Amino acid sequence: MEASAPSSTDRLDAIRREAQRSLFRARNGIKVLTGTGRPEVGASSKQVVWRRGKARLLHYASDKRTRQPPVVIVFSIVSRAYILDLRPGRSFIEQMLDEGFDVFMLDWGEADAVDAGNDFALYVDNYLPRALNRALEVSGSHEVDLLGYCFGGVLALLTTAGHPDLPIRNIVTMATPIGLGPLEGMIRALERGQLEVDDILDETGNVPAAAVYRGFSSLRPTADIFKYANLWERLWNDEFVDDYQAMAGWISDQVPMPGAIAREMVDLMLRRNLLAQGRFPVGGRTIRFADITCPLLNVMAESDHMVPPQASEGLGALVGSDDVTELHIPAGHIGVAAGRSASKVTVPGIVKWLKAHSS
Amino acid sequence: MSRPTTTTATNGTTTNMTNADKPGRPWWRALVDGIDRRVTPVANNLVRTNTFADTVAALTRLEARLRRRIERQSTWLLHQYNMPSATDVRKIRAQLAAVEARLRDMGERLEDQQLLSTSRPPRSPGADAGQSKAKVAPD
Repeated sequence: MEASAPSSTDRLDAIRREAQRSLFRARNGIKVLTGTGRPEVGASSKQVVWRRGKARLLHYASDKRTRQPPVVIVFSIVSRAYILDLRPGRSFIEQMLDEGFDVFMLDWGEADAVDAGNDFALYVDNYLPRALNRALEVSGSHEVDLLGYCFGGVLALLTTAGHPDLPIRNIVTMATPIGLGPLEGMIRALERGQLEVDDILDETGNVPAAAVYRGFSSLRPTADIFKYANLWERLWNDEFVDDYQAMAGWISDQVPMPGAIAREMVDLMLRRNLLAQGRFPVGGRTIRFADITCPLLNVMAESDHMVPPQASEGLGALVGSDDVTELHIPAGHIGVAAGRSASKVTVPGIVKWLKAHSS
Repeated sequence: MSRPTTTTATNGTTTNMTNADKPGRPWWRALVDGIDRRVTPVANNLVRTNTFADTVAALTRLEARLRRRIERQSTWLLHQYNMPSATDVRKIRAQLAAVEARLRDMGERLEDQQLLSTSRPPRSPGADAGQSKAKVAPD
């Protein structure tokens, strides 16, 4: 059968569609260039139920709570927590709420000069135990599930191991670095002593947000360039542009890292590799991962260029629990929590595991 | 599955532009993808080498050293006219931050003490301290 030549109606339709796309491109192009019309991020309804220093425990509103225990998300200290609640339909937290969980999140805020002395002991022995007790109080539950993302997973593990009195039923770690050997980039200069933390601290005594951003973005130096090519190609698509603005906004919205904890990370995690050995000095004593006896789900992102799966894989052998599950997600470091893979694979996987491990 | 993008045309009618309506790939896309395939693996490997890390580290230290030298000289000059330098301001900020951190620490300890004293149940005569958490069932 021969293909029929396009009719004049088809041609007119094609011209009309192209003209419309050009109009959308122009409108969205102005939005992106001027930074206007940015979608609202972190919009899920929540309440601050506890605060100490810059740390806040957020409790998310929901009329769908059917499950116990509550889930307390421990976020990383080097980026903004709203990535887990980026936009409606692109929200890890929204999905957990829809599944009936009672969700809390520990947001560490933005460090300034006052926080330059924040060390591991402050987070592990002061902030986290108090925040967890407050979550228990608010939820009326007698135990919690902990979910730590990236460096938040390290804090969650150390708190669980260092405070066996805390009623932690299950622990989930996502893209959490345990052995820093597989990490690449500038971190190797720190490991070999070519660079010291004091060389990169700013006048507040913290690692500046720009340095944190450069450290991550330097691992994919061409990403920004080709990102613009994708944007230009899909500039006509409102949904794509909104997603782009939300994500690009978050990527450039990093926070400083307290100088004290940066020094401890380099010395103890990177140079002495103590975490990979399952022991870590905090607050004058040595915390051992072998003291973690609750069930553990270790979620790893297979395409993670910041925390490769090899940096997380050893965790199962270090904990004392005999109920350890590994979940490999085909996503990057951010995508595992905030991308399409998050909604289709990560969250369903975590929910299924938590349901199987709850009363 | 296509996700509709809805927009309102100037005459008030609503038009949907779905992913099914998306244009074919532009002519330049193949070129960009080709460059990406050639350049990106090389660039990614380069930034993972010790040479690159050492070079950036050396530049960072050099920048810090130059900054400190400029600050020392500008400090000397400003002090000749009895004016504060950026270093002076930084020292004061650091002292203020230390005081604020100390106050925060003291405030938190006070809060913990208050919580401890309010949560401790009053000791009744003859009560066994080891059973202070036992609940008494109502009659």
